[in-house]
Amino acid sequence: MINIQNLHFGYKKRKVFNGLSLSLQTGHIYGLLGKNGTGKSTLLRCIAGLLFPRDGTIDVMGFVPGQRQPAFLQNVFMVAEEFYLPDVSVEKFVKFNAPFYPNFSAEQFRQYLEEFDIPRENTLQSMSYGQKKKVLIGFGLACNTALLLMDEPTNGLDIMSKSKFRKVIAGAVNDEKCIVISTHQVKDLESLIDRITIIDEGQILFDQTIEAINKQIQFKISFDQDEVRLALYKEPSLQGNAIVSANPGEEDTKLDLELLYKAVVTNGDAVRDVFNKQRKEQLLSKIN
Amino acid sequence: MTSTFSFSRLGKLITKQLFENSRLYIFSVLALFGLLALIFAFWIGVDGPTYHEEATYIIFIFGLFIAGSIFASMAFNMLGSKDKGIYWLSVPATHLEKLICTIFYSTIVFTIVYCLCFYIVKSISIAFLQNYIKTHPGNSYIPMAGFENGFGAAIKYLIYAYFAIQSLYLLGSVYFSRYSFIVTTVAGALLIFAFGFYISTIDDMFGGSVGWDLVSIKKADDSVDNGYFLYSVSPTVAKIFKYTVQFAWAPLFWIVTWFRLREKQI
Repeated sequence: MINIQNLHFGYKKRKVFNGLSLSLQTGHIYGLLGKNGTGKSTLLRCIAGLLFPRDGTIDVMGFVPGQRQPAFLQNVFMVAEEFYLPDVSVEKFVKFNAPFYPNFSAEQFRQYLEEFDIPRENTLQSMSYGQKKKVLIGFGLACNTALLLMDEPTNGLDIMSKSKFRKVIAGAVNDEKCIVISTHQVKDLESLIDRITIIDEGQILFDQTIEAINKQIQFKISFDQDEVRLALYKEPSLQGNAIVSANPGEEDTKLDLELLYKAVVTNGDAVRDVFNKQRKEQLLSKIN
Repeated sequence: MTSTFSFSRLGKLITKQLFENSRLYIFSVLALFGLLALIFAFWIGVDGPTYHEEATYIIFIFGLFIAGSIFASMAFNMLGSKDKGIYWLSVPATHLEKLICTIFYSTIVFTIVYCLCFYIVKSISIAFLQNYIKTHPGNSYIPMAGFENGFGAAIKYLIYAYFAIQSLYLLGSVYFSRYSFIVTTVAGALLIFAFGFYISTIDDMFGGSVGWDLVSIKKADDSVDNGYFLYSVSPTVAKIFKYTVQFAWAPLFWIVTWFRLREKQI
């Protein structure tokens, strides 16, 4: 669905991407993680056709996003971190925006609003930031576009809304849809995404499915000094040392995205080695 | 669905823009009424005892230029901020449809609404004035003689200039995301100054014995019967040139605006 090759992009003097390549498929919810200013939002805007690459190519569903053709735009919806909604009621917003999206479902939108407890008769400008964001998320989902891009979607949502957000997104994905969520609040995405892409310094630092991570990495609390010493990442906690380590026995542990993120950022080579080693072993076993 | 232009999408865009900006449009019309009423009240207050209708047309032209330029310079203000820009550019319609929708409101609808407001305010003012003249001897109202001479003859050309200037401000509103009206005014003034300087340089080059305009050169020479040589492009070319100068500016600026919209990044 999305194929990015050798992407170069920068703002005036600041380079953001220097040869980034990435491929995203339908049927998945991708989590795009990274520090502030590493280019997560920029990447989403490049995919949405709002920014143009200096060099390299972006192909989204066979379209060049920068051309902003209607057939492309009606299949992509972006929930931006800084978003605008006009000063009209929810009803009117839907009445005048939904006709641009051929797959929009009014029934789905009604369900999302109910799920998020949003009154339909209120004008958008009289709503809180969180309420407005929920309207936009609900509208974006109800448009049933093949690609849904979300930039920090949980910012401004209360605890209950974050949980509802996860529920709604999990129910929305299907084999024809791709959802990309960019965030630095990694905890909000746990149990939601099925592939993690970590960007740093304009490069892909880590790109693995949750299934592969669960197989090859374990997360646990350890008191064993040797285990702590050999860990890919460790940090003291009240119960002991929270560690991220290789998982040769494919033990079933609970994924901790925050720890994984810290492990990748602080000890990226070692984390990648775990995956590469595993891949080599799989290849060798296939050959033998 | 066509990838370049669709009347259906354009219709949807026009409806969407109307309803999303209805409050702004209503307040703008009220402000326009108020301003015109104030100007006419001022005119009635100071222009006696002889009131010339011509003065109302001067008000019309000045108001049209100033209000039209301000309105046009706000046409693409959505592109001045990231959040609004993303909303605007993400609407599934082509740049051409978005441009036509903007021209429709900022040029066509604005001009019609302005003319209607002016007509209503002028009619009320003139009715009031005629009533006032009846009860106050010594005052008089002189209707405009026609549109063939003086300011009346110039109105036609000023209207052409209005569309050209308005489209320049429309272009400015895409180019300059902040203070578009001021920056476009400064840029336009610099262009006019540069053009004037260029013309005066050419004039100096020819010297005093040569008169010229954009399609002919007249060189004084006593050795010929009528006292000058006239070098001119053919009447057809001159006519085409004249029409181009009068009417081509607005479409030209619209085309540049369209290219600029396609290049716009948020």
